[in-house]
Amino acid sequence: MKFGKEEIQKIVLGGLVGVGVIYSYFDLLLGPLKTRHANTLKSIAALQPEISRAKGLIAKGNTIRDQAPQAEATIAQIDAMIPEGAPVAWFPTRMTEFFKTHGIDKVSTRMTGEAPHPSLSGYRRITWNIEIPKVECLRFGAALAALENTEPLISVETCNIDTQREEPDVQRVSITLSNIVKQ
Amino acid sequence: MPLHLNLYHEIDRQKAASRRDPLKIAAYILGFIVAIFVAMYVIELGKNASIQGDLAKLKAEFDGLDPKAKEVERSEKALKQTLDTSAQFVKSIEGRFYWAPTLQEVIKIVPREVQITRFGGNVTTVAGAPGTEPTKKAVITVDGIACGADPRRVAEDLRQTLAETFGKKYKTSTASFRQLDDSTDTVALDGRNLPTATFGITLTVEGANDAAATATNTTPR
Repeated sequence: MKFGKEEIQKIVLGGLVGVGVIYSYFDLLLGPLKTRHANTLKSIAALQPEISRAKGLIAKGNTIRDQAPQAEATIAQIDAMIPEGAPVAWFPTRMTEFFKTHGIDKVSTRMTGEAPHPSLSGYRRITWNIEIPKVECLRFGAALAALENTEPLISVETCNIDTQREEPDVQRVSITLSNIVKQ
Repeated sequence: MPLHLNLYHEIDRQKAASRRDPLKIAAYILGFIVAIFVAMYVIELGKNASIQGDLAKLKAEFDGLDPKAKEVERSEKALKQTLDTSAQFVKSIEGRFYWAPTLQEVIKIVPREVQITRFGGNVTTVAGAPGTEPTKKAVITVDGIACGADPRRVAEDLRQTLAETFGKKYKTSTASFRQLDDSTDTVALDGRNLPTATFGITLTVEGANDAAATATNTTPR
């Protein structure tokens, strides 16, 4: 088959049109569509961890919210144990009355230190020295056990019991304790 | 065979030439390719629309969750502080060193040949290894007078018993003599005059004390 000049021109023209169509198709139609597709996939991939994070935060928040009433009740219970007012006004009286109920009459309590609680914000730790000049060791032991059992905010730091040569039946007791109070 | 005359041969040749027209053939091929391209484009457009729908759904979900998460994050700080405070209170209360059972234990251990003249002690908080809770360390001093045929032996027995007894209750327990001296004094026990020795024992215990304080009911020695 032999092509004439006009036919060859038509073929070349057709080829050029074809190339143009293919180029336009990929560059102007399919290309942007593919780019958009890829961008959408990227957006989805970026959004999924954010959604998981948000879901995790909400779940964690719900767990904490469920635990909060119990914690609030514990704090309220502890706060209720701390009387209002300056500790120096109520604590020595409280100790005197406490030991009196355990048969120990002479008790002197004095404050020896005060500092913010190292791990509880909004609370202070006050250190007290309690002197009992005359007490039977076992009576004191029972009172100490009761003190440790009934006063959870009190922690006995030092305890000294000395016998007295002139009265061997009674001992002299000195204890240092710390008490948690509100700021 | 009959004679067949083709009077339209010119027309037939033109028709054959028209059928073989390369431009026409190229146009058909191009049309076919364009049809394929259009189909591909439509398929791609469909995929894109579907994925855009997914993205819109996710965005809507995120828009719903994000304000809630931010609100939770805001309130979480306050709630966490409440939880921490409560946990610290519990830890502080439960981690106390109880003196009453310690005193009770010492009273139980002391034999009738020994008179305690001084009992003392102090508690300190010892920071543990990283990641572990701090522990309470108590240094207890027990001073007294021991009597017997061999008063030093009596004091040594007391030291060993203290270390063994408290070793069962605490992770570490050591008892050592601060002093152990013979005394010129004698004491009367069971109708006999016995030599005495004065002693000072330091007992160091460390580790959690699970025992709660209990009332002492031991008879005095």
